[in-house]
Amino acid sequence: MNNYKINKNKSSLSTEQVLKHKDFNKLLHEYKGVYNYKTATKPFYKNIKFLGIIVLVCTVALVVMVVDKEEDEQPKEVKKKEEVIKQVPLPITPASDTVTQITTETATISKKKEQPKKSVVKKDNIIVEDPSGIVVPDEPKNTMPVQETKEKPKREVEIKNNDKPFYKKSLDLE
Amino acid sequence: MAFTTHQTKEEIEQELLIIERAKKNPERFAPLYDKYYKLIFFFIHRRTDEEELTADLTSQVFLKAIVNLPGYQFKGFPFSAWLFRIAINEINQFFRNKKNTRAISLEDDGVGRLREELDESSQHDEEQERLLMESFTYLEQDEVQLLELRFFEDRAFKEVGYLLGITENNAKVRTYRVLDKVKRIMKEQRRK
Repeated sequence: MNNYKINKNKSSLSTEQVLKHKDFNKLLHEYKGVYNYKTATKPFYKNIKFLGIIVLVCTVALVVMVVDKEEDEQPKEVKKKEEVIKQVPLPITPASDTVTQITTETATISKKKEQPKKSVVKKDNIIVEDPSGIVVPDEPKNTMPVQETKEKPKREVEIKNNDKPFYKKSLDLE
Repeated sequence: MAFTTHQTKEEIEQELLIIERAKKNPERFAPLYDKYYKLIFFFIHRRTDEEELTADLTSQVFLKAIVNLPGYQFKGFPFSAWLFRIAINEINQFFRNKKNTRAISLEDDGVGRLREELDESSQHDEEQERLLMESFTYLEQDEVQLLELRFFEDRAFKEVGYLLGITENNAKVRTYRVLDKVKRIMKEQRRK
């Protein structure tokens, strides 16, 4: 059972009695207090600046992650290509196609005079010309194609015995 | 005192203009405060029957109204309905927190409407009226509130639904359930 106070046909309050409580300035003052309290106690995660910083940080982090991932993937691809090259042996081409008329004279390097080399041929690929006329190529150990390396021609400086440098001349006791 | 406000289209439009101004500047809320203060005061006083308490609750209602005014949207009901809704919530919260006795204010018109609905219009004796008053004590506060809004303040079900935050149909169903409960209680009281 609930307890209610039942008023039947009770005369209501007069207008004066009601209006004496009416005060809009008081209401406005209370409103300003509540509004300031609301703004002062606004949680930091609802702050627009805070949210903006969070979004910015997340974007930067995402960009950095994507860039890092791309960089990681590139060397892997290169390694894979190298592995494929190693696994698949290159076809042995006939000697006539690759080297034409290389003689021992051209292959041997004179020690006395260093001539500018246009290409370097590895020993493995040197073809020894048999006196019988049959060209027998050495078995290539490396399946990789012969790489041409460009070397700058070395300057030939002929030093004559007579032309000794000045500092040696002074010390020459002979 | 009539608690339902019937407004023409022009009046509603003018009021909406004032509300829009008040949303931008709370000091412009004064015309609305002046217009509805008395209405809200009487609405609360009928349920509390204490002048000072009513004044406090009324000021709380207007404070909440001015704070939440930016979120107000016209939904086909006058601005006063929105204020009544805030007032109902304030009253309910007050009686939930404090153990004060809630008041029920009745007028002959309201009692007449309720008795018509209870099919007891033929019996006008004092005994029947006493039984009706007694039956209120067996009702919960939300049930009494429905009877107050519908019969003692003569509101439409649509408005009752809006004020209680329920649909019109739900307001109807609940009201008729309360009426059935009152009938049952009165029958039991008669047997005793």
